[in-house]
Amino acid sequence: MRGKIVGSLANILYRELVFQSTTLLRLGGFLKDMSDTNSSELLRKIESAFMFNKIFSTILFATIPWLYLLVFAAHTSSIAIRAVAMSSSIAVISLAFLESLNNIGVYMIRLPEVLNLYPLSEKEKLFSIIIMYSKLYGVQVTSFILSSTLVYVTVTGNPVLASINVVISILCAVYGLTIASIMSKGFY
Amino acid sequence: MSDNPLLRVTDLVIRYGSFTAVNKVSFQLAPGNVYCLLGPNGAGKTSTMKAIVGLVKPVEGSISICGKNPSTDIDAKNCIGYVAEDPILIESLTTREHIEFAATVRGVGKESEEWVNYLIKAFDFTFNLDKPVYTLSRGNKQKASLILALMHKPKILILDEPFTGLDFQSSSILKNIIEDWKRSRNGVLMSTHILEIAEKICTRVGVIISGRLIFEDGTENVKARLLGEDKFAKLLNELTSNTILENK
Repeated sequence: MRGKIVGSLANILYRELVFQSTTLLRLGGFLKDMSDTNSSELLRKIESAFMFNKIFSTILFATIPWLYLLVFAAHTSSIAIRAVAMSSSIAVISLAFLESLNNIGVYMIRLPEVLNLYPLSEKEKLFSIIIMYSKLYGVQVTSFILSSTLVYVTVTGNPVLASINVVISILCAVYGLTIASIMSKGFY
Repeated sequence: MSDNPLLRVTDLVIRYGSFTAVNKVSFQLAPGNVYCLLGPNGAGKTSTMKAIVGLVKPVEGSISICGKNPSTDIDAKNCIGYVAEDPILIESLTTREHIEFAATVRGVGKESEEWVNYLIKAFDFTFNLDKPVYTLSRGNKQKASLILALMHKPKILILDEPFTGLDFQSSSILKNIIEDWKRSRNGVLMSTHILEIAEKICTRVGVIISGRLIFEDGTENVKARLLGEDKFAKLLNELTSNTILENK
């Protein structure tokens, strides 16, 4: 597998997905009427706006378990478990929703056509898509996993339960992404 | 056709759900040939080309590109340059970024720089090179696609309606490039609605109607068989009316 190509393809796909999911639904047809300077400025603004969204959703994902803990203010382990379980379900739903939106973008950029045009192995295609998704959701999911683990450690003081929580959170994220992929396959 | 064919399509069947778009199509592209696929809209020309490039998965049949099986050997993709009817480009990238990416993936080195620069100049594309693709007109997107398809000097060019949206000068450059490909013992598979162009550049024609290749012959034989002007138009009219009568 050619690592440099995988990295560069993942960057290209990420950039295009950000561009398509931000512009096509919102701005429609008048993009072409812009001058060269305006269109370059638009590309830059889109990237900044997406970065802002990413920071915002990262904070949101990290806050979910703590918000639940505040609601169920009592400090018992059973409440901590409930808090993390409920916040996990919200995170999974949010992730599934985000991924459904991005999957629309994936089809808009004609991803299968672009990938099939070049001599890329199945492994290279798969890894570039995984990296692209990691760039999209990696920070948010990691922030959620770390935050919910911190809730566990703070409330229960039990590192074993905390490690189990990490595994469960990762499984939840994978589950959410799988559901969203299946849903989007059905749409297209 | 004594030479080993550059492209061999055997009993190709493509279905979209219950609709059969291509039905048992077989043909070969020999070195030094320009094979033109002709036929009405929706006949199956684009689907056939997409299957060859790997954009559509056939349900039956086999495809061999430069002696390689494209579904198992990714090197087969370096043997073809494809221009789609609707250019396949990444909208947020500039054409220069496309070229750089394609060069890395295809392993095109510095030695091709002169050729790529020639293509950029010939298609009068220098001014558009650093513009994001989404700002380009239909014709300029077509030119970008052509540069990307030609830059690695593939043995087989697959051109789906390549003259659509091109200005007079670029059409003329493309015709010259196709002639060069023919002379260099490479091959071109092309679909076009401009029959005058087909008459001038094709060495062999295949007519697809309703997903079936119903006619195939050398251009010279077709010209010898039909009298007067617009021979390809006559051929198409004749074959289309026969097919309609058969279907009735």
